[in-house]
Amino acid sequence: MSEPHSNSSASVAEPVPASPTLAEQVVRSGPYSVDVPISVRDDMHVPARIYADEELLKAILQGDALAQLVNVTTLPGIVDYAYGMPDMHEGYGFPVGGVAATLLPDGVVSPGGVGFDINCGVRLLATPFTRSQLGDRNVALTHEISRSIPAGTGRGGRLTLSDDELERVLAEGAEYLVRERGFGIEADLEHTESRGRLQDADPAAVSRRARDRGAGQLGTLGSGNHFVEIQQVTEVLDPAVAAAFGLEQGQVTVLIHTGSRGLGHQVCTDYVRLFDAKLAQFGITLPDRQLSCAPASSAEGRAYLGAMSAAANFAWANRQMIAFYVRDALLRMFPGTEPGSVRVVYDVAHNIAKREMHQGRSLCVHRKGATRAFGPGHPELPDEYRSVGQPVFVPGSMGTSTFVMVGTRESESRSFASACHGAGRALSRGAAKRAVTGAAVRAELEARGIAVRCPTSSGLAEEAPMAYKDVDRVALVVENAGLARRVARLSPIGVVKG
Amino acid sequence: MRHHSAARDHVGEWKVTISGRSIEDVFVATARVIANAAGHTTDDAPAEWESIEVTARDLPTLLVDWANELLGRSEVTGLAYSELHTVRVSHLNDRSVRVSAQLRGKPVEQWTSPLKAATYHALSLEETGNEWRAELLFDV
Repeated sequence: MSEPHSNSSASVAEPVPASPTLAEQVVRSGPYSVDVPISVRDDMHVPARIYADEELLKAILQGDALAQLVNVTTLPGIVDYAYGMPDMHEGYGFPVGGVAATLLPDGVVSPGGVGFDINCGVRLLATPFTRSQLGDRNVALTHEISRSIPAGTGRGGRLTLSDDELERVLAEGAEYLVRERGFGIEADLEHTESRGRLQDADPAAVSRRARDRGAGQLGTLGSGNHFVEIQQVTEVLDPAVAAAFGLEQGQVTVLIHTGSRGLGHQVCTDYVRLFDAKLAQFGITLPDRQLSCAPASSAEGRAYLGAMSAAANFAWANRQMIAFYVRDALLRMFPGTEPGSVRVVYDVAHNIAKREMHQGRSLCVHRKGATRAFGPGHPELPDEYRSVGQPVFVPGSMGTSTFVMVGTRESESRSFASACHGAGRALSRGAAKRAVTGAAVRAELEARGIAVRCPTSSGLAEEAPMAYKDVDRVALVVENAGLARRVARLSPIGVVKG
Repeated sequence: MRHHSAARDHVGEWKVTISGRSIEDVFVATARVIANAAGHTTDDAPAEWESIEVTARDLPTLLVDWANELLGRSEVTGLAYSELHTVRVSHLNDRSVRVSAQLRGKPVEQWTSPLKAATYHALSLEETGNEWRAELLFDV
């Protein structure tokens, strides 16, 4: 009789301790990594690992990014770890800066692990000109490029594709534009991830709406954080690798950042909706609907991979077309220049899911806001880079540096050969606009000799340098974590914002 | 119709809170959010009225699918759809829900919309007291 009474007294006298938060359960696993053990939540299939130092970790823990990364560990078929890159921040479903791989054939593919902007990525062009040769014409060149490339969203590309032409772009990507239309040279393809064409592409899996959105958008930037930036090489950190990439101190480069535009957004929309409706049929329960997925071997999973690959091909074709316009602008400014002397250093995707072999396993590697970073010797690398590794580009923000990095062998076992994709946002767009005006950003950049073209003033404020983390720190952590090594620093001299 | 929308801070994306006196108001307000984001419209006369109908398994899903239908349609036609009438949300016999409306838009002078798609992430739509309230996250 006394026991219930005793229990009752105890429950009043001793408050139940609060459950530890997710952030409190993070444990350091190395000087530049922390883990969330698999025991933290019952639905985790693997642990999560974030590459960060204390400073970057503090920023990562401020939003929902950690919880989102833990949610990723619940995907059926996920192996090893869900990885967070040093630039990770909260998104929806997957965090931005998340990497996860599922075991094929039956592991899942998740459109949320790729994002709406399928094959958003960056392409670096190396020009034959030095900063001193360009002189004060950086302003004119920025203007010429902004006139050549429609920014903003919606329609408006200079090239409108017929249905047949769009079909070829979806199936053949940049290869079609170079080989059939003459919008580039063969070397461009050799220096593009997957040669600018995923063979799995299935245009039939791309909806009419997606095609209609994409038909007038080839060769357009899009809005948000998309840009074309004219830069100069201001620091060479690894001369041997820089030489292999064809980069040297003082050289003018151009970085293009854009993706698959409305076509890719619609492909993602279509398949998230389809998978969300079919989750119960697949017997899959998820903590976040935006992680909706399907077994890669299912008819629905195969259809998504076919459509996603077609959208990825569209994105590579888009960056190819923009590179063509940039070359054209440079050739107008420097008559007599050989088109081939404006070289594609490399073109990498940072929103994609790909079938890759890692440690003897066939995996579906999702990189959302993360860059593939193959180390030396990888057979997929072009001949000139095979002995040094894959170029990786880490842009900061308007007004700060971009780092050219190179993939390492160690990244294979540490992150499925992945590295970060940028500095990562630190402030929301609203917070950035409250903190600074577009006019102030423009004035500050122009005072530093950086020419700016942007369709809206608010767009400038949203992408202000203060809205991003410190890219120097992010690149250093990537290097110290063994994911990629720094090769060169590029500094902006002209920015065309979408 | 009485409705209201306000942006909320989100580091990566764009979160918006939408409220209205009726469920239809919430759908109208969502359409206006998307139209306003598209950019300045021209002084041209509005385009012809169009019919729109979206069906989904429940109301929150319907709101996301409605937003995505408008985003896609807008990008294809080049119109910002801010005029709507006969907006009707109905429950169907198979427990699904449908929104139907007439809408028309004006051509957008220069597209500046950062909105790529509406997501199901952290989605909410509920009736509290005399008000319907939704929270929607857009990828930007």
